[in-house]
Amino acid sequence: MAELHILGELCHASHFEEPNLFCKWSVQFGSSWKVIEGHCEGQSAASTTRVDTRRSHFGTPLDLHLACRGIQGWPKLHVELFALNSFDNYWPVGYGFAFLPTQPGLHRIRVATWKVSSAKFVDTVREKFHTGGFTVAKSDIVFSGIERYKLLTKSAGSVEVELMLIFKNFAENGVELR
Amino acid sequence: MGRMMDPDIIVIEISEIRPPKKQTENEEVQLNISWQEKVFSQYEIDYYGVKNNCITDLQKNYHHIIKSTGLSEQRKNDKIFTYTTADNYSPDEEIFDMAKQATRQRIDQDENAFESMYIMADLDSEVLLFSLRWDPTEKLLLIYPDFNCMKINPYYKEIQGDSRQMYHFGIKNLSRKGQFTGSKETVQIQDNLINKLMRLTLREELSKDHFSYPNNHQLQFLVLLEIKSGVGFSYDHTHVRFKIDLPIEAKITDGFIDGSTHSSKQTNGTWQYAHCHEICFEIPENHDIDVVETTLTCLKIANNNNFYDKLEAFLVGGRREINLEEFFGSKENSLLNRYGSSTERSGELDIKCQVVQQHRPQIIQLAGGLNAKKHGKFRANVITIEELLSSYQRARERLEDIVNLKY
Repeated sequence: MAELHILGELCHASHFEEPNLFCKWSVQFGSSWKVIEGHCEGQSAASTTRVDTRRSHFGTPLDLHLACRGIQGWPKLHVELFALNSFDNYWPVGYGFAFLPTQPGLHRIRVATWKVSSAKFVDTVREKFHTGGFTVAKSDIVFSGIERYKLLTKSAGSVEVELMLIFKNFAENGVELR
Repeated sequence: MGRMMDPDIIVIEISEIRPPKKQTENEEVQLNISWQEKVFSQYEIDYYGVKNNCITDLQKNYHHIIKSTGLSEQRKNDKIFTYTTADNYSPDEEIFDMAKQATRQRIDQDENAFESMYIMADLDSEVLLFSLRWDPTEKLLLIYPDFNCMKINPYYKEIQGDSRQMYHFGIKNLSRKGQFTGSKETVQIQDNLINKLMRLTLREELSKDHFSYPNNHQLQFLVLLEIKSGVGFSYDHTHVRFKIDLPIEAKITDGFIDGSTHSSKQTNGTWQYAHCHEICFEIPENHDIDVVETTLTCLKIANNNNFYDKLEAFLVGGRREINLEEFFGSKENSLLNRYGSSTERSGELDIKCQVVQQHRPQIIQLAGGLNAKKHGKFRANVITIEELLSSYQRARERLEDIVNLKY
């Protein structure tokens, strides 16, 4: 069996319209992969955007140890950004996906995010005044490949993640990581 | 309808008529199954429901169960069914081998000593979801794949039928934990011991070779395509449709060659897709795959430049209908004349394509030459008669596929 150590940090979110954000992250993988140690999902604290940099800093650590029996189902990082208002209401403002790099070492990944687009003008105004937004009814719509063009979305900001990847026993099993 | 005149008069409430609940396409099925519990599929109900089809004692027993419980008179709604030890079901070889490897089964152990159960799904064809094996000598229940949580990391299955369907499934442990009465220190010592034993078991599993390899003289490629974002398009609400062109000798083991992103509305001149697509295939050893560039320039095929086409493009949109694969690709037999067609630059796509290549470990020793380390566990690369015959058979099948494709 080969092993993969994922050590890193969820750094910050940038270019979001909403000021107060928190991020829910998860690492998803196929049935050939298994968690040995660590958590494959987590949530950051809420952070307020700084006016000068327009970034919400999270600084959430990621520490995960995976084992695999095959290269199919390569791990993917999934992020969901939520906005928080002063009434403690929260709603999703960004969904993003990215594959984990296939090379060992330090990587800085920028995950682009999108949110569900509001169909009516009233909902757009409501979103503008930070009192709510739309979410998906089923979570697998976010990454399902079936008739995906029917899902109307709007581009949101991006999330930066810094990862250090350590691969073990991949070369012994004939896997070349380009 | 009443109105409030004084406190003694009650307003009559009109009952609200709610529309009937629409049956959504996304159905969720949850089933609690006990060990060796037989759950019939619709095909089994129809087959064993007819008395003439039942010859063996087991089939007659199933017929009796179906008739006594009235299963044949109603349509089965859920898709999950089971095969027990008595059914003598033999699953697909690859999954079975992986399950056996995962269970560290000894070679000399008798297959008949195990009790097995298979959780299946009726998705236009029988699909094996989970395999469970009970080893009475070791007192072990072995489940492949492992327990998971539907909300966090469900397993996925995409089925290509008349339309592409995505199913996600999970298995949860509903066994009651034994009640233990003891002091806090005893419970803590017990938990520490269980954690240490689990870590030791995992390390033992990790030290053994259970990795899946491609076939002999084949290379396995895993392509991870990520469509991140786009800039510079003329229209809003754009989505990207893509198709991966593989060599004709490639055999796809997992994934699809085409796909589509969601429709995206631009913000600050950027369309963000964040779409991930994975495909795994095997090809003969003499091929190589290059990594794709990270920025793709897109071209738009202009219309015939007359007034009505320009007006239509401005008001409605659209493009001239052509076969895009032949226009941008190569046509084998004849030269394609593109004279008179004009294109204009439409935008740029930011994509990332990662490739993971895998081959059988013996080949690394050959490439390393005299300095290659000799691993005792890998045998020398000696081609046996069986391997030669199986290579010949594979090459013949590939040739027949190519010939069938042409005709």
